[in-house]
Amino acid sequence: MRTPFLRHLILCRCFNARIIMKLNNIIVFGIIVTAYVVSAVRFGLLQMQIRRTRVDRDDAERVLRVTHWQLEPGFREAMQWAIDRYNALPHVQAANVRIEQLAITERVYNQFMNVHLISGTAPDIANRGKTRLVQGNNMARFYTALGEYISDPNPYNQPQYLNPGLPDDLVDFLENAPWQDTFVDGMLGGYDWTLNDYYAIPISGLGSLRLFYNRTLLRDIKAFLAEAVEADPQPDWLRHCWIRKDEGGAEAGFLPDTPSLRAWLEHGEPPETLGQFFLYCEAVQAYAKARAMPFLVPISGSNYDPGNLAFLYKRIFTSHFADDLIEVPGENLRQIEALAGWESGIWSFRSPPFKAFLDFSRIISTYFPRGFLGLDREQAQRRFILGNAAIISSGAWDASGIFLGAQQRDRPEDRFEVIVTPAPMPAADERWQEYLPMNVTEASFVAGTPLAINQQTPHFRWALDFLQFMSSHSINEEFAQRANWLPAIVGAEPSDFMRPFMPIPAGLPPNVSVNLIWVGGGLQNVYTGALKLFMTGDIDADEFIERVERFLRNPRTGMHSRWVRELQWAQDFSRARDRAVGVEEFRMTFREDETAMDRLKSLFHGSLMMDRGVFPLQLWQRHHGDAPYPEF
Amino acid sequence: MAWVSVVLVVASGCAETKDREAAAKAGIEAVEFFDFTAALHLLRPVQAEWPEDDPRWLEITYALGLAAWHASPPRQEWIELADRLFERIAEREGDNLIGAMARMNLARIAEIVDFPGDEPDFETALSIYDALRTEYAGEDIGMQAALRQASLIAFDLTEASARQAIALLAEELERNPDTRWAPVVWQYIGDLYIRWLNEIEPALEAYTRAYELGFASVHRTHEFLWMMGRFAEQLDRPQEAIQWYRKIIEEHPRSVYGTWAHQRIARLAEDDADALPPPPDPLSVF
Repeated sequence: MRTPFLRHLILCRCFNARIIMKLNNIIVFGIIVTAYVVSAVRFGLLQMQIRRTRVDRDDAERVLRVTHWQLEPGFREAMQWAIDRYNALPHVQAANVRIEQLAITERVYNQFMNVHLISGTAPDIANRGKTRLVQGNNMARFYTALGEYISDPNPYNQPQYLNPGLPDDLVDFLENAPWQDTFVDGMLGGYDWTLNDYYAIPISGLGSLRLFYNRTLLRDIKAFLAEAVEADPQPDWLRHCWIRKDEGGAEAGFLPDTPSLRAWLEHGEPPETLGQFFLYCEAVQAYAKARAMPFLVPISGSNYDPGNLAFLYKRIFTSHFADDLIEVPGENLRQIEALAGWESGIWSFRSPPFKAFLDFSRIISTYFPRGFLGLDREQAQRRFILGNAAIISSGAWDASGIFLGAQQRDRPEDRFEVIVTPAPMPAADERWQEYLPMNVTEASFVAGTPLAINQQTPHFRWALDFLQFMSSHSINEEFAQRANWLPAIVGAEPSDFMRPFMPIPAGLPPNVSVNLIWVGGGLQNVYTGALKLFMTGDIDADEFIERVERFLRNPRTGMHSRWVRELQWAQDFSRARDRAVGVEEFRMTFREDETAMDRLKSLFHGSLMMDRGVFPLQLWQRHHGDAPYPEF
Repeated sequence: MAWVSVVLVVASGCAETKDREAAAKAGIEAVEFFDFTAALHLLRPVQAEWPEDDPRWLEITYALGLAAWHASPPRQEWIELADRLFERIAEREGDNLIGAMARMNLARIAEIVDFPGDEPDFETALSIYDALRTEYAGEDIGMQAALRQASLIAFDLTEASARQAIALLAEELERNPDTRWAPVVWQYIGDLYIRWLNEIEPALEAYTRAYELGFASVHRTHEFLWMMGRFAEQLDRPQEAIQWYRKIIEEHPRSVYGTWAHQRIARLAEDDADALPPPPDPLSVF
């Protein structure tokens, strides 16, 4: 029972509480409005300031900013060297133009560029990648198409700018060739396939995947291995390396004991064949055990794909189905073709090449550190630099960091030399030789670090001029040598240090393999998840196959769903082609742009080939005859 | 994202957007940048008030037609707007090129399922393509109409439809041998022979004609050469196959088919060592 006083008190308190709540709401609302107004005013003032500073007055200094995320050792210093050279050019100084570098960490590059592109304050020149906002057609909204500027020679390739001593034919070529043709990849690294135009100028090469060896460990472990080979009896771990048939008749071991192997053991070179590579990895494990070095592993694997050698070799193992799956030679093997082939029994996860890949990947994973899927790229590099891994695989972009790290260890006795080699292939008498005939070609190498010009820059001509300077033969050559990256320009020499990363053209075409890693949707999750569990030894091959096939056979999510999605995707793609055709026709007619005709013909043919999903419909017909095409 | 663009244009308070000229310019630029939804919202009010006798009416109306047709996701209301605009252009422009382009677009809109529930109208599309093919024989637009017509016929995915499409295109080429669309037509004839009919010999002949004239997709020439080499081998014409493979090696040193081309030549030229070109120096390729 409540007394009247108590009731009064409660009512008062409730009343007061309501007033306080209302007051609180008003205060909070006021703070939000004030913050919004302050922010809007500040934004407006900043915009005015930016506009004021961007007004092209003859006496005003024009500052152009170049942004990228390449924080690898050497890159910024090399870029700054090129910028300083440019800023010192007489005509650049006369125009009061200055270039500034703005290196942003990769982790926030996306957010930085998104915010500044929208607010109109983005740098004049930027690496166009890692920016979600500019994906697809938005590239054209924020960056300038450069197609009309690349047909003339690069003015900075005129003889007065070239290094002396170049061959006459190269000088003649550089002086007269269209700017586009002076790039090793024909400027494809700056091309946008959606918009059919060039939106960036690539200034360096990323190089291909290579193996890095610790020379000190290589010397010691090869000596350890040579002793083991000469021992009588040989240790068990070594006897298991000799190629043979196991009790069940399956192939085991990696290579035979031959004179060529003995000869290799006598010199200090890294493994030359895949069999020697596996033998070396086994020797590293035995050496670590014998020397009580629990942290030493053969390969510094991680969750970073270039560090996982199984993925590198997978493309070769699964290229053997190409002749049966690709209907028209010269075309890429599409994922739906690969899956339709699986559905029709042309190949299976138990086919010998795929089974061999599973064996290969399980064995090679045992050379990685325990829990390698929890390690990232930097942790893997650190392990190698600390001398706790004999090998690491990565690309040229990591080379500087690895080389410097190895040479700058605190104690001189910890420092070591690094040797770089391509991934080895098996010799004729070694395991997997029938499945790994050659590496994948690097001929389609595309230059990287594509720098694009902001649509909103008031200094477009100077931005273009700077990119011509950066991609001139002499500047690009020295820039690449200083950065320890590969040059992007024809005839430019890399540093000796980078020569091992030059693309090797010999090899298999890259797009003839069954590749389900990027297949998308639930299948990708199931496939990659199961594959990783298999590699870590958590499940066996049968369980891996069972998981993937169960998913593919699921009437709701499996192949039925893939066919439906493929047709939908093809029809969407067909509409996208129509858009591109429509715009090219518009440009040709209303802009009188005759260069659009070549693009139009190419697009038109592409449109005919993919029209309304004709490809998956034909593929279905080929595999399933007159059966109706799946529908939702 | 297109909405962001619209909001940005409006919210930035640009004085230019109030100006019809500026809005028209921005809308047309948006079309050229594939930002069709922004273009639709910018051009729609402008086009409605733009005098039809003004010289820029045609460009603005055509651009709005493209924007309404291709704005994403497609809507019935917008597709119908595109239809009306292209019909008006076709009526107004009559026999000239832009009128014909508008009619091509009308045919394509009729042919394609643009939004859920849209019924394709193949009859209308075929009749427009056929009329354009006849009226503009030998001209770019006439050849495009012929290709679209052939594609629509072949979409039936039967042998008879493929042969009908090939006959139509062959007839066009016979009537207009000098058209600059001949490489595309020859290539598509080759595609029809191989993908629809699995007939290698006529396909190779058609691709050879396309190669002589220059493939439409120049950057894919090396891929087509590999295909032609393989077809020549299947037809038991080793010398011809070697000739195609040599072109890959000599004219496309950065082709991903270079190594395979070398291997095929080595196999085919066992009795003829001269046929084997020297392997390229890896560094010279780059």
